[in-house]
Amino acid sequence: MREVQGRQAPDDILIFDNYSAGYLDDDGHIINLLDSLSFSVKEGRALGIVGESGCGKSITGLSAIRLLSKQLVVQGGAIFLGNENLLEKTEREMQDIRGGKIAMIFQEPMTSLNPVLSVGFQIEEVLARHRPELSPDDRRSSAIELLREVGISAPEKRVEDYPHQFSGGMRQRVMIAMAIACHPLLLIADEPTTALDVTIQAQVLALMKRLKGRGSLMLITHNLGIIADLCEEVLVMYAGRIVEKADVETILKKPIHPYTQGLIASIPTLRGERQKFLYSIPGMVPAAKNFPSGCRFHPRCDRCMDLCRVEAPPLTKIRDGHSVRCHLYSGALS
Amino acid sequence: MAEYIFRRLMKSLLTVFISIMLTFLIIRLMPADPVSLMVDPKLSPEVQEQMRKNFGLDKPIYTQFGIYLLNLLKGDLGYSFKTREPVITVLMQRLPWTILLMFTTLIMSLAIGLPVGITAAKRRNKLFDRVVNVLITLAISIFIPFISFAFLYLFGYRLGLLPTGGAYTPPPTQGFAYVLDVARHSVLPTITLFLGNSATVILYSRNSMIDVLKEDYIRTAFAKGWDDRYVTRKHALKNALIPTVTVTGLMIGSMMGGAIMTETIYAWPGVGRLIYDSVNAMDYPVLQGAFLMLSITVVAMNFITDLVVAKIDPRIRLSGGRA
Repeated sequence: MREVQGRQAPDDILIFDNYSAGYLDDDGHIINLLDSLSFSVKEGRALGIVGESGCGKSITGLSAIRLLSKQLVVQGGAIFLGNENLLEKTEREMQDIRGGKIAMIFQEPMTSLNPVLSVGFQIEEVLARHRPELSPDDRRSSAIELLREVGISAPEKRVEDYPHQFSGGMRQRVMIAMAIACHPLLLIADEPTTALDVTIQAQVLALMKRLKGRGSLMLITHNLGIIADLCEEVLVMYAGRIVEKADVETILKKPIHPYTQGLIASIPTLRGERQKFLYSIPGMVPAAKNFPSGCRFHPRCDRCMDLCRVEAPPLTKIRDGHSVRCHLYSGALS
Repeated sequence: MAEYIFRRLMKSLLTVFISIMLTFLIIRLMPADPVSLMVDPKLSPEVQEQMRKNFGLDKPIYTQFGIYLLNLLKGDLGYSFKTREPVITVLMQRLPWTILLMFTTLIMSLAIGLPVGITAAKRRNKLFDRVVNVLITLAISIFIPFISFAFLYLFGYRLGLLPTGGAYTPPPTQGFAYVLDVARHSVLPTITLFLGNSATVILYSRNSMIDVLKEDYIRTAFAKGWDDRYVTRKHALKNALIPTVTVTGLMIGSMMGGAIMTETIYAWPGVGRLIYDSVNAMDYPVLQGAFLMLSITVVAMNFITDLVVAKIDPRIRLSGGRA
């Protein structure tokens, strides 16, 4: 494919290189969803992907383990794990990677575990797949150890239990135990706490924080608070495009894209002047088949210019580690 | 689990009791007087009265019901109006034939239906699935007498390959020749019953498999790096089987007496044929016995189905509630 070999910095674990994907509609047309995503997850660091529902963040996560549903098709680009392009791997090779080198935690702990299999079996299964040298007894003791690690009390007993005997938060802990079972290079967490109560969210976040640093993390969420808590770098996505990419400090304190600014402004705050109304970005995320021309955010943008309606802004580098996709900064104005 | 079984059992017994009561009452509500069916109306009123006394029909209805229940417990279902044999004997003569037909049909339906249904689900909307769908619709909507007569005409009359009726060629032979003879006789009724039942099995296993394959936990299993074969076998199959097990249980229950049309057309000496003949002969005790047996089978099958489902699904097993 592209001139990629040796191109990435040595500490990049996962690299999305100009990756595009779309979905097949009933007439066989491909409608673009993800448009030229380029970013990387660095070794031992956490990258947060933030955006509203429908902006393509979950599909980005699923793309990295190539578990897209059949209607979704890759339109171009590459995804590198180390030096290997995942898009060129056979299904068999991908199976060796899934759960082993890249693991994923899903949003819905209530439905992501199989109701008719014990949690012990479901954890041991990962080990059985990727570490065949372990005996069944070794797998069982590893499963118990993993359950203990994610904070489940009396794991020797709970290992025999079925998912419905666990609460939502506990199930998400089980999911995490499954995901870290084989010490993956990269953990993808897709809205890991969204379906949980606030207090439980905090506990699960604390657990993820404790486990952080063993490998890289790609955290997908719509909650900037969680990103602030866990991530070093942030990717803001809107309608399938990266609109702003920077370190967490910059995104939270000095965002420059109108969309990121809107997102930050819509976080309720306890400090400063008391606001009567919480800011919200007008309108909603368009469906993929109605993505607007030009900048996909332009219909909702309060600083929209004529140019924004016709031409998609390029991803412009503001300084090292901070890029933005907006005509205000693309140099088109000068 | 013990509590679950106990509660299911109690529920089943209650259902059986209610159905016994209903069968008992329905017969009493019939306009015809049983005595006038059994005896010559020309007999003197005194003799008729005496007969009523002999049969216990002069007693109040709850006493009659009590006597009926007691007799039931002793296995006494009364006597056939037509043959004067005990009803239980008549039923026991017919039951093996129905069971034979039922089990062959059931085993064939499951052995062929399950793999076909699951394969169709996995190849959803591909050619195989489309063909299967058309065949299922045909098999379910076809009128049993029509297909039966078509089979009889083709295989029995035109080609002369298979016998046209009965369960064996009288007089019955011995040993292997007899088995072969019965097998030849059972081909057409079995195929007729197989059409509808296998279609049901395919429909249920296909649809539940399609639903299960969309579940989040299937994606989780793939995310662990397992292949399609393993995920289907370990994660999808057990979940997809639950509705199929339930419908199979119901199927067995209804097949015990349900093959009335098929058994009648092929002159198969089973319970279905017996029901048909008894209706024609107004043989109430036999009908009553057959209905009773039928309801007990249905309840027993439901009970067994619940146990099997509980065995597969831990959510039911442990919580005790939810059927």
